[in-house]
Amino acid sequence: MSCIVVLAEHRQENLRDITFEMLTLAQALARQMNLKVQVLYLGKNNEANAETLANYADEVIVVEDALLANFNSEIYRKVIVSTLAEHKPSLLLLGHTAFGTDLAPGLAYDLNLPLITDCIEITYEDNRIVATRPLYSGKLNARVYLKQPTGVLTIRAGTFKPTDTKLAGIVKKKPLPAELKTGYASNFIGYEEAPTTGIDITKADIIVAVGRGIKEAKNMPIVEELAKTLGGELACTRPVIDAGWLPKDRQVGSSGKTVKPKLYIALGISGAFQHISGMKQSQTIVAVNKDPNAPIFNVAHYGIVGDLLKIVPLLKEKIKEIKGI
Amino acid sequence: MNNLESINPEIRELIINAGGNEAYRCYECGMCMSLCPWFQIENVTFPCYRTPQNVRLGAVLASEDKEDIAKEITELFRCVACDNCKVFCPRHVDMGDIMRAIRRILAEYDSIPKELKDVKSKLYNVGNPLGEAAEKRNDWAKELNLPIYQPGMEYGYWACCLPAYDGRLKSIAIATAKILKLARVSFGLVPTSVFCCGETARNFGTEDLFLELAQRNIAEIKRAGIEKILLTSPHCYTTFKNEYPALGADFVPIPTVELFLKLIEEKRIVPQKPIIKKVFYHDPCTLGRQNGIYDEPRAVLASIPGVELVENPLFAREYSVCCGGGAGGLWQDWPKDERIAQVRIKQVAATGAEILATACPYCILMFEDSIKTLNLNIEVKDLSELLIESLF
Repeated sequence: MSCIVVLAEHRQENLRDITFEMLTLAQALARQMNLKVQVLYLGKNNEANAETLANYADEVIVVEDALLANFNSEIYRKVIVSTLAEHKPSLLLLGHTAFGTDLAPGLAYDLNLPLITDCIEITYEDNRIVATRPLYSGKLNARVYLKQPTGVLTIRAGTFKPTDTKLAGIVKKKPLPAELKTGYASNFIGYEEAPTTGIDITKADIIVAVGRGIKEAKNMPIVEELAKTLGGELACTRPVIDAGWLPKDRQVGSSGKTVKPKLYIALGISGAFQHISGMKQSQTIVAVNKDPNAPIFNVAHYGIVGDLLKIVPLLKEKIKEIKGI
Repeated sequence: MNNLESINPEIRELIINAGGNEAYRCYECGMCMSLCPWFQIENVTFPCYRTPQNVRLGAVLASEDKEDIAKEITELFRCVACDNCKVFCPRHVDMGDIMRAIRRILAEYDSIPKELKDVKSKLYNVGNPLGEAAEKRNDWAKELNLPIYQPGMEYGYWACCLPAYDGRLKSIAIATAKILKLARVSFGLVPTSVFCCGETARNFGTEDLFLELAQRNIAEIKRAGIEKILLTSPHCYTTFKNEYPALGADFVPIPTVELFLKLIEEKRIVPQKPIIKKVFYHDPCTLGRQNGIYDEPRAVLASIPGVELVENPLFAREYSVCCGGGAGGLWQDWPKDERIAQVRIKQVAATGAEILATACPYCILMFEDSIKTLNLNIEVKDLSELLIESLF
């Protein structure tokens, strides 16, 4: 019982952000609990990764074998248990990802440790580990604690900042014991990239969205230019998709994407509830519509009543003027 | 049936227990299929006429292939509960009940389209399908200074979640309240403690959710002491009239259109300002086929000076084609060449109508959407919106 172990998560030997996010948490807890931070890395060609991780931990344990190049929960589980057998960790942190949730219950069972999943906060209070985990789609948070300060925890991705606290750690390599090289029911067949679908509008800070009020395909460049001037992404309502003026991955609404940008400019969008449900949580909403009674004005913070074909070019010029471009 | 070995007679028992017992009367004439609104859409063959047969065989999902089953489930969720098949069935098979029974079983396994899962969770969380705060239910009436129902008033007014929360539709609730005020009708709003009537939840198969909503509403309406409840949406009306009494409701549901006509006949309101337009009245399924209210809305429109009612008897009254918004259709998103509303709006456009008038908030949203997609020049109005225009 001497360390906090972070299981490094990688895909095709590329370390994933969650690993560094867990290290932020592990470093903080280790300071309070007076423990060491250990990273466990299972993989194949991982010199560079091991060294990167050593910058942020006291110790990096590397188990190297071609068998471990790709994630396989059956093999990983056995190897992790065997590696941790000598020095059972105080805490074992895994990402609450497809990778981590696949492993965590089995590891908790094998190591005979309690398990708390989907943690968004973990604190050390009065000699107790207290974890916060959301319930009911984030409407409530439950605080649960471990009776002994030891357990397996899965951490929600994106909750902590990636660590920037340097520790001069050492790398220890462990060969894969021969008895763990065979006897598995599952094996890795191949890696298939998901097809890339161009742009992800949910990540944009600024969205310029257009509705049927644009009238004709030939007017589209007007809004495209505004989006470009603002450095934002173009999005739209379903009728614009139906007309074939923009691809489906740009649709905002209940049957499209839900977006929460800093700025959402709704141009010629009446504001059907199916669209509003996909954008009403935007920080600032600006609407331009000819109809003063358009429902979009109920959710907009700023509204302009008028023809978007006239207003958008003026907006674009004004923004260019302010930006000095 | 090419997959007889996958038939499971147990599913037959389940469907019958869930209320689909009339399948046994079906003699497979195919009437329901030819009347199903989906029949009018190319590339879609909604297999409703085979459904009773499949219920009898216990072969509702006759495949063992995952993709095939997913496709069949998608088809089962096309049904919009318009009751066209039921009304014209020579054997009086209630296809609506059979569809609901099958969906109840699917919903138990959460095998429902994702848009409907979203509606379900919003209904569970906040009691309305739009996911808006429950306490804002009466916010549409803020500027009208309307009282909450008190014992002694004649009517409690139930605006339906859609007009209560949707920016486009709240003008229906506002128009209705203004008409009632003008006619000096004694009424108050239902308290904000009520939830959605549950019609959509019932039709897409989440029976437990429906019962929860219905029981809460019945208790809240009784607690408020409302004896006559005035309803804007015919979806609420059909549920209040046909489902709530069995659950203990003893109040009288009245569709607003019925009261409008009474007020006109008693000369408590007199439409004066002419609306010189060709108006097509679209019969909502829940008002027309399900409750036989065909004449009242037409009489209300006829009382407005200038209105010229245009109609094609082939597509009117019990032959009206659904807008596609029932039984969860409002939330589902079909490809643009697979929308019933477009079939209907083309029929309306062919009559030369300038205004499509109706008495249902669902129909309004469905038609306004298809008018945008097809780029047509027809206005969609609720009866109350036309009536108030003619009164002021």
